[in-house]
Formats: sequence, structure tokens, C-alpha cells
Amino acid sequence: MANEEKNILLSSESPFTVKEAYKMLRTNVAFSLPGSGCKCIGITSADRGDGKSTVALNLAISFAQINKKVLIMDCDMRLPTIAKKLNMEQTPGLSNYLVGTDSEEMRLIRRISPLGVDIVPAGEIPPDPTKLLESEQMIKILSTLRECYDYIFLDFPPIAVVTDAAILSKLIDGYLLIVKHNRSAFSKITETLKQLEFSDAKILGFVYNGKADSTYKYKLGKKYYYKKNYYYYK
Amino acid sequence: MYGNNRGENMEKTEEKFSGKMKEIDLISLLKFLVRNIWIILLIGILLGAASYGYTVLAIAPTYRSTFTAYVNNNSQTVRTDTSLTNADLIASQQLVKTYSHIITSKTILLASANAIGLDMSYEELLGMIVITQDEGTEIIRVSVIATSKDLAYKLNQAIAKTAPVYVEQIVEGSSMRIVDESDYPKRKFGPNTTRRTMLGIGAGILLAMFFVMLRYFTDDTVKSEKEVEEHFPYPVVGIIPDIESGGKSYDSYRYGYSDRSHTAKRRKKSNGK
Repeated sequence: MANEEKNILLSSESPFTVKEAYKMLRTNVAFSLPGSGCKCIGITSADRGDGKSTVALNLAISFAQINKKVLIMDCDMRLPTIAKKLNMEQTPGLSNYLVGTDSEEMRLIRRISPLGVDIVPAGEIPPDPTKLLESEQMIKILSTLRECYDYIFLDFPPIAVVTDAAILSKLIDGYLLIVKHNRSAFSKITETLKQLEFSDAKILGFVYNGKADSTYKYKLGKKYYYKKNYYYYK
Repeated sequence: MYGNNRGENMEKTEEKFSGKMKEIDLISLLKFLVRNIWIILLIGILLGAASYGYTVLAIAPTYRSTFTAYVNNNSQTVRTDTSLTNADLIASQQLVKTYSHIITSKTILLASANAIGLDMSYEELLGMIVITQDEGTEIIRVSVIATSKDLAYKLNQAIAKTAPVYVEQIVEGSSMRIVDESDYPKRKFGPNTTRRTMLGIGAGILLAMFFVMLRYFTDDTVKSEKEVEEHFPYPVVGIIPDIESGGKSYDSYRYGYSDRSHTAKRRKKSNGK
């Protein structure tokens, strides 16, 4: 794994605030989908560059850290990034299965042992990803994989760009919408929400990505003040 | 908590953000201006520097030479009483205006120019002359502003010599007496470099502020999770810090204030530093 990709992935080396943030997100997501059985969570955003894939990957890693069986599926067959972030081959992947060139579901799955998550990359870029996502094959693969995992995260393309994310709304237990500080536009977020609402999608909430540091530190200020004193007097 | 009533939520989304103009929050606008203060000052300084450079390099300095004269009409001075009425003041102001017109006539200006061997058109000469009146008096100040000290002085002197002669010929019973002779310009009259530079800085600052404010008003991007929650009917379930600025710097605090803690020292020792 390249150093740059390694740095963005959640690990024991990640900054404290980042680890805590993902723990909190994990807790909120878990509580928002109570009950037993596999949870299929769709992750999308309003626009490209909002950090959707990174958040999806890190959230999956966070769930894996509490010994949940986690799969992350790259459903962005137009501009796939999950395999790239992990420095692995894109094919065979989801598109190969959906077009029928690879009919064995389990062969698509790559196990990333250090991270504790399983990955289904996007596969070769098809001419019509929307059609593939609407297909019976997609329903079939999801229902098969649901039996094997506690959480399945589906990384969708941004809705403001294409409506792929909304297509599977009936199969998705809930959507997380990633918004990026100082980048995501209100108008695009509104359009995204309208699309999802129109498709009867269940929206769990927003993930606010890229929050600036100063405000974040202030909230945790008291905590490190006591720590400082502890070290001083020891 | 995260229930999905399609109709209700669509209405709420529509209602909360119906494409209305962004609310103007003066405090956040001020904060935005303060955050961009460096660019505003930079543009001000750049424009000021450009203005200074242009003034110094492109605009030729000018010099001023002035004489003062007393003008009057004898018929007005023959009075039996000593009181000064409003009519007298108006009459003297009109007299000064009349003499100003005479002094800046083609006859006098061209004659003055010829006297010093200056080959300039009447319009050019006229553009160099400024005549002012001392308020409430019959004193006029005749100035020549030119790009050379010598030219300003010599032309002013020539007018001081030529004008009284012609004035007395043209206006019967009038007189023009020189009070102060032409002065040789000691320093530059214009352009005012300091004023122009300050104007450049001021214009730069205003222009930069305009563009910064324009950027603020056209900025449609989210600035905080609170804004997101206020605008949309869904909660913010996670806040991920910016890895570039956030997590790393906080981490150094966690390991000990200014890295003086025991843990930090142990860590350094184990890293072999």
C-alpha cells in the first residue's frame, strides 16, 4: 500500500480525533439501524471530491475493528476509487459479475487482512452502469452477501452527477450523505436529498467531512487540559 | 429518529432551502472579511505601489509661480461715505472676474509668451494659468503651472509685466498694481505623490473588499455542521476532522503539552531519538 493511501486509512497510527470521530459515526450508524441481520448502507455525496469513498472505507474499517464482518462494495462503476486507494487490481469486480463474465460471487471478494474488511472492487468500467445496478444480478448478489456479513457498505457515485445511488433504494437499509466542509454546495445537497427522497430512500443522516481543526480542538479542550496537569505533577 | 416520511421530508427540504437568497449574517461577513484581511491589504498595497510608480515614472512634476495684484476701478473708489455695503462687495467680485477674463485673454497671454520667446498656442497657455481671488477683497493671485521651474517663473513674470498695461488700456479708469512679485518655485507643485499613493491604497482596499464580499455572497458551500442541520431535516451523524490540519496537531497535544510529558519522553526513548 502506498504511503499516501496508507495515511488516509483508519489505523492505530491515525490521529486521535480521527479515530474518535469514526467511533462516534460507527455508534450512530449502528444505533440508527437496530435489529439483527445484515445492514446494507449506501454511501453517497452531492458531488465529487467530498471524501465519500474514504469515509466509506474508514467506516467499514471501524466496524471491522469491533469484530463485525464487513464488506465494502464499490458501486461507482464510472470512476471507481476503492481499489485504487488500496492499491489493488480493479478487476475482476462487480461489473464483471453483473454482465455475466464472472458468475462466482465469492471470487469477487478480496480480503484485506490488515484492515479486517472484505472488498468488492467496481470491476471494468461498463458502458451503462445504471442498467447493471438495476439488474436482477445485483439483487441476487446483495441477497447472497447479506447472509455472510454484518454490514455491507456500498460506495455510490455522487447523486448530483448520476442517479445510480437512488436506484437501489429498495435494497438499501439506509443512506449516509457525505458533505465536505467548504466544498459541498447547499444547492447540490438539496438536489441530492430530493433525488433520494423521491426514490423513497431512507436517509440516516449526514457525515460532515473535513471539519476544520480549531473548532474541533476547542470542544475537546477540557479533556486535554486535565491530561496536561496529570503529566506535570507525576 | 431517522424515520423516513417521504412527503413530509420532501416538504421540509423544499421549505428549508427553497433557493431564497442567502441570509446576510453581518458577524459572519465581518469574520470572513477579517479572514481575508491579508489579501485585502495585499491588493491595497499593490495598487498603492502601482499608483506611486505611475505617479513617479509617468507623470511629469509641475511647478507653480504666482504673483498677486490689486485691481480696482477708480469710479468705484470715489465715495463720500466710508461704509461698505453688500452691493460694494458684489461689485468688487464682479470686477475681479472681469479682470481675470481680461488677463487670460488671447491678447495678453500671447503677448506675454512672445515677450519671453515662448512658442505655444493660446489653448496651451490658458491651460497653465490659474487665477484666484482672495475672498472679500480686490486681490487676485495669478499662477502659472508648468513642467519646468524656469518656464513657470518667466511666464508668470511676463504676465505680471504685460497685464497691467493692457488692463488699464481696456478698462477705462482702472488700475492693476502688483502686490507680490512672481516667486521662483522652490519645490514641486504636483503631482501629490503621497495623496495619489494613499488613493491607490484606498482604491485597492475597496476593490479587494468588494471582491471578497462578492465571494462571500456567492459562496454556496457548507461552513459548519450546524448550518447543515439548520438547513435540512436530517441529523449530522458523524463529524470527521480534516486530517491535514486537525488530527495531527491535536495528537501532539495528546502526547503531552509541548512534548514535555513523561509519555512523550518514553516514546522518544523507545524511538531511539
